[in-house]
Amino acid sequence: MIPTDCYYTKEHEWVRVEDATLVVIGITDFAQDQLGDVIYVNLPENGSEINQSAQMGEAESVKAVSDLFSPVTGTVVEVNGNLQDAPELVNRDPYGDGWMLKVELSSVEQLANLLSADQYGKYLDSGEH
Amino acid sequence: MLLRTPFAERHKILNAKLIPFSGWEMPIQYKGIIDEANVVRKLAGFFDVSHMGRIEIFGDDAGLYLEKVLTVSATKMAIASAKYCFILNENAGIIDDVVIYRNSYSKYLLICNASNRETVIHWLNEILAEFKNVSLSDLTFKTVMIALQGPSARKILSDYLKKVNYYDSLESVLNLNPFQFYEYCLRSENSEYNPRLIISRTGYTGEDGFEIIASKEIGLCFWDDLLQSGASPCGLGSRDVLRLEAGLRLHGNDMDQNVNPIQAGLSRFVDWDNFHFSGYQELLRLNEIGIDKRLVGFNMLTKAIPRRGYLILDSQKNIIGEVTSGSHSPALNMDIGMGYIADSHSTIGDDIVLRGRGRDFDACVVKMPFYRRSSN
Repeated sequence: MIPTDCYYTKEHEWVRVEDATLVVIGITDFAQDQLGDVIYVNLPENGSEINQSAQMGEAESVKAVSDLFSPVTGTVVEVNGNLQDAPELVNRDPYGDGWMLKVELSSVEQLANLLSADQYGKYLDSGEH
Repeated sequence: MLLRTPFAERHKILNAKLIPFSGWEMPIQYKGIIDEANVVRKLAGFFDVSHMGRIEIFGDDAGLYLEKVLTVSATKMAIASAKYCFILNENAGIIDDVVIYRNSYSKYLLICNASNRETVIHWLNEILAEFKNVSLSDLTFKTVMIALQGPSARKILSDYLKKVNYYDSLESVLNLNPFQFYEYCLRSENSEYNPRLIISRTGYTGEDGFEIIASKEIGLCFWDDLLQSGASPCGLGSRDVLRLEAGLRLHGNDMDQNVNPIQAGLSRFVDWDNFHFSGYQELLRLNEIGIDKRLVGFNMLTKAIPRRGYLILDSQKNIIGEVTSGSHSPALNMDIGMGYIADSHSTIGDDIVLRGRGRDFDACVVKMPFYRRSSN
């Protein structure tokens, strides 16, 4: 259910390492389920610097608007342009086609601050979120 | 402890997302708010609205009594018709917006918002003291209410009535005009118990459709049949989107005891011939002197969903009001909302600015409803 090839945050973002310092980030299935139908995703532009735990954008659903927090520090190298016209991809395939950004990490050490799939699963089960 | 409707088990089986709503545990969605809103516009959806208050008023003077409570002339209503109207306080503030059904010469049924049921009952009882031969009965927990809405609603209802062998009533039900209803006189094998069934051509979505008030037993069978009919179960989330698209106000959001029907843009639901109701004098006075603010609809010109509480500014960035409801509209593929703004600024076509979450968004005052179904 929770992909084991990703890192996670308590803010329900995931990080998948593509190649050395290149990562893909998105929001988890739990997050999309909490949001409901996503209507708009506002993301930083290509080339912008984002910082771990800082606000990087917003996801607007019918029900509410929620801040998106960056799970990593680095430079945005690609934005998922499909989310402009098809934000429902975030609901339909949060770990796949609903990805949000590709980021060049400032350092790989920061990945140690993130949760493993196992830890994230336990966090969800704990009901603290 | 939240109240549950008799459909609670069915909501769970359908994997509904449940939320607390006015003291009730209700489904906000089953599959998704947008999908459900779309299915009501294109086919048909059905909603458990059993949380709404259903209060029967009966006795020789029931009509006269209701003229003291409601903004319509209850005694002049045709039997088997329904009317949308208000219960106002002395200041003409809206205690609740309701639908009143006239079942017979001396029997009426009042449908009120779940959130206001207790307030309404309290208000009804206060006025009741002056009337010796009028009685109230809260049917909310003895009956269920289902709204079947959408272009296919008529066909689906027709199929259901045929299936349960209600051929005698078929034509009457299918020929109901908006705000008319058909009431069945059912006999049960157990003579002490008369199952109830009212089918009215009403709704809260802007689509054609029906609302069914029934005993639990009949209601549960109807629900199970609807699941097989091609109509989809829909939650309160899509109901809110649909009513907003149709320009319908929600009490608690778009109106409350601090606003009157003129400000809410709903004075057409005040019958000025009925001068008995509380708030009448004040309403008459306001109608003369004019009002300070008015509810308007607006379209967003930027991609952002307006949220309740966002400020409304004029093009010179003066604060002129506040958003009361907002949503994305799947039918129009646009973001829409309602809010009160100073009356001098409420001209259709005016540019306005919404301020929320530290940002300003451009919007434009438009005529409501936002969505109107094509007549067929």
